[in-house]
Amino acid sequence: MAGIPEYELAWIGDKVETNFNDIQISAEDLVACQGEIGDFILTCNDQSNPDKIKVDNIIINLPYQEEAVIDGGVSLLDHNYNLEADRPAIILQDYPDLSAAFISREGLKRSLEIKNDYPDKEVYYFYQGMRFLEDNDRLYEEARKAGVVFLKFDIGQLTVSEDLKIKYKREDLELELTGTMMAAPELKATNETKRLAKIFNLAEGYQDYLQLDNIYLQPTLSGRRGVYLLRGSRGPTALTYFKEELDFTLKEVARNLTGVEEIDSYERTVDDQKCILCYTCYRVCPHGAIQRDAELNSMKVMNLACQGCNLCISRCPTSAIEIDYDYFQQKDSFDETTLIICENSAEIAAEKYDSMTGEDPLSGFQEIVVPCVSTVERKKVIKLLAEDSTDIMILGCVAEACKHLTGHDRCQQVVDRIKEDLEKLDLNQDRVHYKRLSPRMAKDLGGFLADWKEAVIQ
Amino acid sequence: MIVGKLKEVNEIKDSLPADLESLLIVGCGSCVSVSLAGGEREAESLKNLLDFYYQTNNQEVAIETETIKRQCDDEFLDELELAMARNQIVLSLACGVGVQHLAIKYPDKIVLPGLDTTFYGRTSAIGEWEEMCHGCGKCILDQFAGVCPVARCSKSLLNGPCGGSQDGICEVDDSIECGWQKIYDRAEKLGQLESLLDFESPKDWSTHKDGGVRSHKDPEFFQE
Repeated sequence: MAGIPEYELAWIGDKVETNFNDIQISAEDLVACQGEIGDFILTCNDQSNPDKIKVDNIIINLPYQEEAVIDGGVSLLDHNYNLEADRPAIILQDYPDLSAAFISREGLKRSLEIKNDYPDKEVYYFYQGMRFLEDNDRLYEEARKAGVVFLKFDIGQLTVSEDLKIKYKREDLELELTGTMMAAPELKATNETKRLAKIFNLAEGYQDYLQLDNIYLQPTLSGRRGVYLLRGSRGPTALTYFKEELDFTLKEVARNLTGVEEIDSYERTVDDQKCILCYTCYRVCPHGAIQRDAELNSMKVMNLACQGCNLCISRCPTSAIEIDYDYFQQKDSFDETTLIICENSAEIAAEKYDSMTGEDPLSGFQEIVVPCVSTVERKKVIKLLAEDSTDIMILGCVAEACKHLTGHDRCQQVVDRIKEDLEKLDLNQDRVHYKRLSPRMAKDLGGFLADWKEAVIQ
Repeated sequence: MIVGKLKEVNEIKDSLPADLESLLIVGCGSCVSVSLAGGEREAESLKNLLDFYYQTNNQEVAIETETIKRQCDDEFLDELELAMARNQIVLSLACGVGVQHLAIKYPDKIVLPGLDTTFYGRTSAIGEWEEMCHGCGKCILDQFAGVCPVARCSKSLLNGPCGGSQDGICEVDDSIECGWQKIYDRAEKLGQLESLLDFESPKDWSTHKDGGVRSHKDPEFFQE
């Protein structure tokens, strides 16, 4: 689009100083996001920014919504606090539930700060679990030496009354205390996350955060390429390693600016004569890689955003999305059990097993490798069942290892439906199997397939 | 749009004659494709499933599929001529309109329904649809803050809510939200609560089922 301002990076929410040519847009003012990495077009409803902005990368950096767990106490995250004279300071962490790991660090620092400023002040520290990360070990030791009293509680052992009196009771100790109460707040996603999930077409994660189970696989990367998540958009754990996550993300942004390539060499095209604009592909795509082509009046797959999971193809009700490759063509023998395996988990696990033991766990099976088990379509599995009498085993990913976020669940839905239909027709539904693995589960895979060969094939 | 739900595959199988030799499954590429029930993908999955069934039961049945843009207009059906001639039985994956239109166009063919046509609705989430309209023939949405009491109140009450509305949930089923709660909430937001205090006269149902089978003509295309 000509004439619209261009930036390398847009911050949605809070901005961090960087050397990028960047722009800050408040989450409330963002209305729409079109395009893909390197060519996002953001629409803003904002006096201080133009209507349309072109950006290469996006970082969603929202604050948390703090929710006090006790009425009347001071938030542990509030740096302005007054201590009541002649009464103890009470730090309360994990009430009523375990709080984010980062809270332990804040609590320990606070207890030490108080002890440093007022060495004679009694400081009580109530917690359910102390999470040790970075230098928390040292802080904990220093706090103990400084005289902070640490009291661990289990659910039911500690109550706080309306007048902020703590009652603590365990087998060997009973305690009633009042003082300056500094309680760790609950951290929640802001109200904007739901809107942003819709605007960026991201799957909503747990508790309204924008991150799903595979955070360990792709920290800070949202499902959509070029869109990154920090802090309150990502979940309470994001606070623990904020600095590392920020550095990592900025490096990714810098790398993206040197150019990005398509994920694979296959062409995925939408037949504009068959597409009925039902938006199913748009809704299921875990990577926000589908958009409507206004000129053709049909949906289109954005090549750089596409991560190649093929979910759009397997779910399109009119079979309008095509790929110039048939994964199922790999099958050339009909007397071996068919393994449909995900290249991100089972295939890696099999390679590991092979290098560990010198034995290929996949030998003796007919192997179909797919980029994600969401490639699996009902019609194809049923056809395979009809073609020969062997079983079909689909090996997908556990949620945490699923590169395509929802692929493992989408495949489960397909398998369930196939089994349901087979059962209704009195056909053997036990010939279709689905198992989830992670790439680390080499031994599990090897053992399981060996057992399988023994039990089912022979 | 018209929302449909694919019939259970055993129900479809049971509706086919025992001596079936050839079957044409006709998908419909409009509303019921959007509701993921009757498009090309479903037609092909169903074909493969029935193929597998007949193969397992040693019965030779030739099954083919055709999916056309719409089954409720003549011109699209022309594309089916040859396939129609080739096959003994036709299973339509269109809504009830499409099934009947096929039967009108091909009076000598047995045309069976593969879908249950459920309602006029909207897509409320991926794979989920909600009833929005009963096609009553006289739209009154302007009087109810844009929420239809006919379709979205389980009792179609024009002067609601009834005593069975509890915390926004309908007494007919826990999974149904009270339509009148929605009318109230939206009217409140729009500052139209006052208008809900007006007493609604009984609706003229002659435009709906009371008036018998309905049809209408566009005057631009018909001269009196």
